[in-house]
Amino acid sequence: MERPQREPLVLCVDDAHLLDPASAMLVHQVIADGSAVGFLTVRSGEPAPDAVTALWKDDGCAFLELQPLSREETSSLLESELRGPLEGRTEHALWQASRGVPLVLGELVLDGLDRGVLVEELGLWCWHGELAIGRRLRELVAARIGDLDHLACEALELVALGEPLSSSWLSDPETVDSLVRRGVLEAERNGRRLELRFAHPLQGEVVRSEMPATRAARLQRELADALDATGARRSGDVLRLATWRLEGGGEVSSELLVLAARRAQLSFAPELAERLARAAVELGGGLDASYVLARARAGQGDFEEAESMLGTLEGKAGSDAERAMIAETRARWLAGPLGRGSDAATTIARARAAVEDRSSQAKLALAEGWIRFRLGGPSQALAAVAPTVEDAAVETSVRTSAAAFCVLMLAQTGRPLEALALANRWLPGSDLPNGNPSALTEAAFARGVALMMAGQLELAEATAFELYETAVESDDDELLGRAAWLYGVTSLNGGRVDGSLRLLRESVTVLRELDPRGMLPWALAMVAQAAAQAGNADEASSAVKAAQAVAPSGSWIHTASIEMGRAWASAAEGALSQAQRSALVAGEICLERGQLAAAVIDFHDLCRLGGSELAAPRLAKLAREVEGDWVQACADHAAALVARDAVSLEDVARAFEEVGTFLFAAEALSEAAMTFRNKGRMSSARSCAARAQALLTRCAGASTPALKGMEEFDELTPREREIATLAARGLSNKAIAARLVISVRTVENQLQRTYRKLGITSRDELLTVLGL
Amino acid sequence: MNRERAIDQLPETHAAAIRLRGRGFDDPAIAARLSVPPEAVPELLRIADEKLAALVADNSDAKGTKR
Repeated sequence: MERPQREPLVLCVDDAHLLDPASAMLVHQVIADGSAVGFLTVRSGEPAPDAVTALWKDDGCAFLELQPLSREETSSLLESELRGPLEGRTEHALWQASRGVPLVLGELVLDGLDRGVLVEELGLWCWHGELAIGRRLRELVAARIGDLDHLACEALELVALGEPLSSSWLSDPETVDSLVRRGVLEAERNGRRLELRFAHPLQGEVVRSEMPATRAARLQRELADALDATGARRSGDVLRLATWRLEGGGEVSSELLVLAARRAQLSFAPELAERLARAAVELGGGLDASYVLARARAGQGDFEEAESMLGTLEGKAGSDAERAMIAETRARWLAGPLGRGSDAATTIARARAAVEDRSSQAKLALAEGWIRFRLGGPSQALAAVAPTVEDAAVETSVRTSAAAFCVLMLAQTGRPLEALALANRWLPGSDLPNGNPSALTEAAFARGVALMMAGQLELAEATAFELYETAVESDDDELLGRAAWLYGVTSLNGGRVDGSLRLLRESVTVLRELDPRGMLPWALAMVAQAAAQAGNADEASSAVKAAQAVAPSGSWIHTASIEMGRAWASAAEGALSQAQRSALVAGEICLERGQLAAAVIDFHDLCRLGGSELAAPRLAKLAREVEGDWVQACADHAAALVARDAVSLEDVARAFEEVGTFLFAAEALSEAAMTFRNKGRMSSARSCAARAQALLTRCAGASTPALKGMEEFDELTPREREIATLAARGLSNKAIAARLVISVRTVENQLQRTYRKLGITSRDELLTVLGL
Repeated sequence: MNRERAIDQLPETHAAAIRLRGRGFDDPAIAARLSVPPEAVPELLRIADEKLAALVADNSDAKGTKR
């Protein structure tokens, strides 16, 4: 074998555990005597020839045990391979299914692309439907499980149907031990039970898919009988027992099926909830069963049918609690996704006239609050619900829901500090009555909005992020649409335009499938805003049209937000006069309806779009009525622009920067730079421009009208910025030169050029100007 | 990103290895706890440290602001 001199030989051997002894010996010799650098792979858990294992045991070769990827690494790999970001729940589902094993991940993605269920929509990769595994992956997983005897097969089948499964339900402990040792099953203690589950989720999927339906039914009946015998005491047992009875047969009561259907609903499994509820109805489950069935249909987005089912039930209600339950649910659907606010109001009024007990009245008042918000405004909504919070005769869970609603409405009316005080009193984090996930998320959502309106952006964003992660990990699509919206809006306020746009697109994708609160027009309007602020006029314009197409007619809330989307879309097209007109209309609608917080945002946007003369008096008035320092900064911004006061604009920028609205701060500095330039104060202008540039590094993707003036000011080159940063951090010219391997003269020249661009005279000013 | 949060974001085995080392476990003990061959521990820790250093140094935004 000939090879060039002095180039090492690299010997690569894949699946070295399969080498015959003679070949293994040869490989060992070649590597051990330094003739070649070896690169070998062996499969974990498989025996390898002694000559191969000696390489790392005796000869000091590095041994690398490959590990699965983390969730973040999986996400990065997916984005890189698909050349685009993924929707949150798709990313989570792929990570859960693959557990970070690249081979599995790759097969899942290829199968999804082949079958057309993994598709790109609005710039995000989304998986449609259940995550099913293809034939090739099925074979790979089956091969990994290996050959099984009859006892092992049966054990795996039971675990596949019932995991996590108590080990005491499996008859042969030695078989179980063997499966755990082989890494097919994992055992974990849960209280007094030792529970078994598959080491990798796809293994269970494969075993289930290989089972004939008749065998699966028989085994599930056995599992149900075994669980029945234990008394089904744990909270998760009800759903398991009912599901096994549904699949396997045997005696079951309609009450158990209804209870299980409710649990399935709370676990965000509406299809299962529907099946359980239908079975309950067939067994004569009565009003309860029919109500849960309607909720399950709504949980799958079929609000028309669900509302009609409740309409039929209304006359069958036998108690105040049942009347209130049906009317409240029906009214929410009418007012929300069905866009029939007047019908919703009529439904509630009819129910309130028929109901006497205080708790039922309170629940109806809460529904009425939502309707009043949509038809009137937040003040009317607050008036309807606020008395419930303090009514000691009403059960705590209802008062807490009322408190969460009031927090949202107070924030909307420009009283975010009062909202947060109420939230701290009634919604203290995760410690909510019954730990009801829906109540927890309502509270978190309300708190997030109040924090945003109070200008506590960092906390608002942290709250929104946690809500978003909760939604992604719990398969709660109903929450995910709202959480992605809130996270996207807080990100946009923080100036992270690219990230915001991605989240808001995700919100739209989810809400298009399930939108129980009629939020889709808002989400589309926000996509328009974010896309425009990223300089994408086409997407902004399309989003506005889409929002108009789905918004219910006559809805003031949606009209205002769509108008604001239109304002930004016009700005992205360069039509600033039109943009200002739309922003003014949006602000006036919100003002008229008492949604003062949104009015502040709209008028401030008017200011950002060049309409400061119109915005200033309105913002000045609002600053006297709305709580929080942030609104004062918005008013000061408008006033400073009208007065062409560059020094005041710098002050405004500092105020915006302090609350974390970096894009507003950058825009104010950009405007200050232009104002200084127009007055001939070039060094001040350059200094402001440099500070704006530094802030814009935190605003990925931003391209707004107020930043257009920045184009005139030379940016520092990467080398200039590097040298300036080192100088600002205290290094001498000599030290900088040594570090960058350049001459001291070059450092001096670069710094002089930098001082000229920034309008400063010494390195002492660099730290401030560069925003370090 | 602070160190603890970065460790949380490492792959499970790498995170566990760093934490065990921090608690004073030697290589054989780490191997036993993580069910890996003892010879694998040095490289496992080396890679874990490199991943951790990269995460701590990472200031870029994913999605809106952080993950």
